Amino acid sequence: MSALFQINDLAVSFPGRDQTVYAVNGLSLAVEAGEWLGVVGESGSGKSVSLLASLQLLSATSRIDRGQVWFDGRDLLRLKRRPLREILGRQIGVIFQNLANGLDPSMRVGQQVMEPMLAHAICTKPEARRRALDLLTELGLSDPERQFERYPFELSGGMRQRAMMAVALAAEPALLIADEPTTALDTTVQLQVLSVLQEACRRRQMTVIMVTHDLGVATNVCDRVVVMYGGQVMENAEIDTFIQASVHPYTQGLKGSMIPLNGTHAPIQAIEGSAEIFHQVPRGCPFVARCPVAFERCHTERPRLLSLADGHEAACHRVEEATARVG
Amino acid sequence: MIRSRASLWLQGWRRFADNKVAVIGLAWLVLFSIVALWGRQLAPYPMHYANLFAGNEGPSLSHPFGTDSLGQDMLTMVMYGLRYTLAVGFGATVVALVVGVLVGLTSGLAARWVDEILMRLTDFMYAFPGFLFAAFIIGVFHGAIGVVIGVFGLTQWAGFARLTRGLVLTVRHSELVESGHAIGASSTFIALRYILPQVINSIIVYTAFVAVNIITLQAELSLFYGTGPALPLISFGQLISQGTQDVLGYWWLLVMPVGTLISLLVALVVVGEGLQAALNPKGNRIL
Amino acid sequence: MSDNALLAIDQVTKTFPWGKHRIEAVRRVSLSIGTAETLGLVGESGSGKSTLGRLAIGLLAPDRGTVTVSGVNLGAVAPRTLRTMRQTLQIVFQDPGAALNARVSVAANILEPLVVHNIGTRDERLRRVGRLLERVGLTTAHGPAMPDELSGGQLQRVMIARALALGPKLLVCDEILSALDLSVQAQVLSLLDDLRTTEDLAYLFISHNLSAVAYLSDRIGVMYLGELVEWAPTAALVAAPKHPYTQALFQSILEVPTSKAARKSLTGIPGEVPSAIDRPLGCAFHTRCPLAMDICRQEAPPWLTVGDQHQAACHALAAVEEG
Repeated sequence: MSALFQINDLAVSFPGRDQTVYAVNGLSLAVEAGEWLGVVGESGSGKSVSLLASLQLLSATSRIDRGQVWFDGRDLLRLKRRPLREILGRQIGVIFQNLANGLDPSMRVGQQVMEPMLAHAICTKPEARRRALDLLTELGLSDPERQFERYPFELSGGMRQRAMMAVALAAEPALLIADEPTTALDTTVQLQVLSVLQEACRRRQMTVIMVTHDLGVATNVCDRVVVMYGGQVMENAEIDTFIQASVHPYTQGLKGSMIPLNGTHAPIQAIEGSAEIFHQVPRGCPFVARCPVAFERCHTERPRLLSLADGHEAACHRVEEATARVG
Repeated sequence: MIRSRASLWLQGWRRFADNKVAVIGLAWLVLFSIVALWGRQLAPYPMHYANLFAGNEGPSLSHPFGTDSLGQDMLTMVMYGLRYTLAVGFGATVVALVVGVLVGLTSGLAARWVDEILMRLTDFMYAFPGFLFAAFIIGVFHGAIGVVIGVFGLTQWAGFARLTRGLVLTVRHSELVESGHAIGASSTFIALRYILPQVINSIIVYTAFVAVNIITLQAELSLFYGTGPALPLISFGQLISQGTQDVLGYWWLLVMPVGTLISLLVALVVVGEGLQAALNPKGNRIL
Repeated sequence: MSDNALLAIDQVTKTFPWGKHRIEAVRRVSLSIGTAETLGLVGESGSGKSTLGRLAIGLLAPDRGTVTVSGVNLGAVAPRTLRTMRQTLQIVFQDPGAALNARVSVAANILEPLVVHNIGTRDERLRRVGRLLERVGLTTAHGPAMPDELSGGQLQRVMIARALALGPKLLVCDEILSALDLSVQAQVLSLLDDLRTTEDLAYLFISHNLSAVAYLSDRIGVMYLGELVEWAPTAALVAAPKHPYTQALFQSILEVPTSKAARKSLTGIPGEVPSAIDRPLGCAFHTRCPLAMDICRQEAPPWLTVGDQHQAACHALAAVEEG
């Protein structure tokens, strides 16, 4: 199997006046065609930054230090503006977390959904209109004829998020990158939006990369999960392995931090501290300061991503030593 | 574990210091202030010292700005003019600032009817023919410096009041203000400790531009009065109005005071722009 | 309402101007909290839960109804008295970055309530700040730091320390977890759990996060569009939620399944919370309710007792009861 979209050894930093922030530090991940990949981690783990950087969508204050992003036989990081725009929207759709970023406030919703089809000359204008209406209907926008003529601010949060999904899906891209697509929504609405998104992507056999901090969302919709911390991959596992046999202390910590909903009052095993900002490229494991089982080597040597089983990888010295002893 | 850190003001100063033009403007203002404060000691000649044998001389080493028809040293006259101009400009700006900010704070925080009254008053002052009013009062009181400062200050506070009120309205329902109410703080405590610090930066920026207004207004007014008896002290307006009479033969009589005045105004504007960029980096431009 | 309640809210309604009209943010809500008890309020956006939190400690005054604290009606006391009463009533907000004074140090922020109420000498205050910092899991070394040097979780701890400075009896927590990461949410929740025993605190814990509310609370009230629709002891609510809206809330929580095959389908109730400007007649939930009947569109539902201290307002439940 070959990857549809592959990030190789990506490093991104934000040079500042006094100090530089190293947000992504040698990230590699790949998604295969038809797969639904979840990228999870706390805020500041580099999950959003790395994907935005891979599409050259970060602001000018950032710097891509190294790496390649392979899609359709080309390195997206080496592409000029124009060819990149040909790919974005047409072959790769993007949904942002921040509702305000995704839609143009001065343009009618319908117009915005038609835009990718017209910009990439996929079909004629009446055809685009028909398809846009179908898409809005499919995504569960109530009364699509009327919403079509409205401006984004006239829609509720849930409707706006559906409209944004429609824009991302309009040109039928092969890959969808969704950054926390349901985080800002009410819980009952989040469920509806996730469900129509999942339906729509399945029907089109799309590949999806979904960035989320919510393990509940990731484990309920994704086929595979990549756990990030300090701008690196900590663990990469098929969903069942992730649920039942994850090994990385950070993954364990994330799971332990989930508040159970069963009426019991058992103490929560949360990770200590909060996600760090790195002003130097971490020399050892980025998680070392918060890790309950860290030892000397973790401070000085960066753990390599170790292949444990078919499709299961983890970057942890403890895990490596344990497997070496067993094997 | 905790770094000691530059205060917010120090951060603002660093951003300001990055702006070379603004720093030059500030240096220029500092120089002018020194001249204004110690003008008596620094001036090359005593005030009104006339050498009738050296009238209407062009710029030279002994008279860098030249002399007028009476043989008075123009540099000395300009330095005294600067002293008067800056005293009035600074004093009147402070009066306008204090009155305007107090009115604006009260208006933004007090009950609706108080707000109504204060804003009517502010609108009235905004539309008030300040120039004529100032000309009248100053004529009546023969330009006593305290009166001049008071009058200019009172014609200019309305802008501060509007600005302050507008800023207060944007923060009065903030969580910070709410958390002040939550700990049982009084309205005065909240106004001074939570609200004023949030709006002060924009007010400081505006101050530079009000100073420009006041200095211009003052120059216009002394032009209007010319060399008449209403203004016993030397001001730029007076020097300029005299200079215009002799502009063809003796250009330095006009160019030197006008040049100094313009450089003062430009320095103020540049510093104001610099403050805007340094203190309000993300905020909307207020001017 | 019992007389020994720390806080009693009785038939409280609060409206806000909306253009020429007024919208009802909170509508005829009654509840009470006993000493050292934790009441959770859960609901989505527009449910009025944050407004209710502010009403509970007198930051807002109700249009109708009364808020009583230890037997004193907050609406009947002078502003000065109310300010003094705030010593027993404190609130922690959602965004500590916005609610703390960014221009002064952490220690100065925690000191402020003591300054306002003129409590203690300078030295005593500083010692108290040191103790409070340690109490919320920070150290005295954090005192001189400026707020923007701390992480979101640390700031929320500072906010809690500031609220505890006056030794309150009731702490309103308004969505205090929602801006925090998962691991930090769990830490703060544990801290609250800890504090309520050591400080003898009662909480009004307001959140859209049902898991967090259920974890911390003794009793839970569920709000929808300004009204309380169900309340019950936590165990009873988690075991058997009765109101269709409460059931929908429970369904919409995505927990980690035991395997890919064991995932539940992503189906929930349709629609979104209507705007309070055109509140549906009858039961406000009828536009989204799977059990809606004719009567739900016309009449406000009655309160039913559905278990021990467990009540819900729903026509469909009433019909079951009768039938």
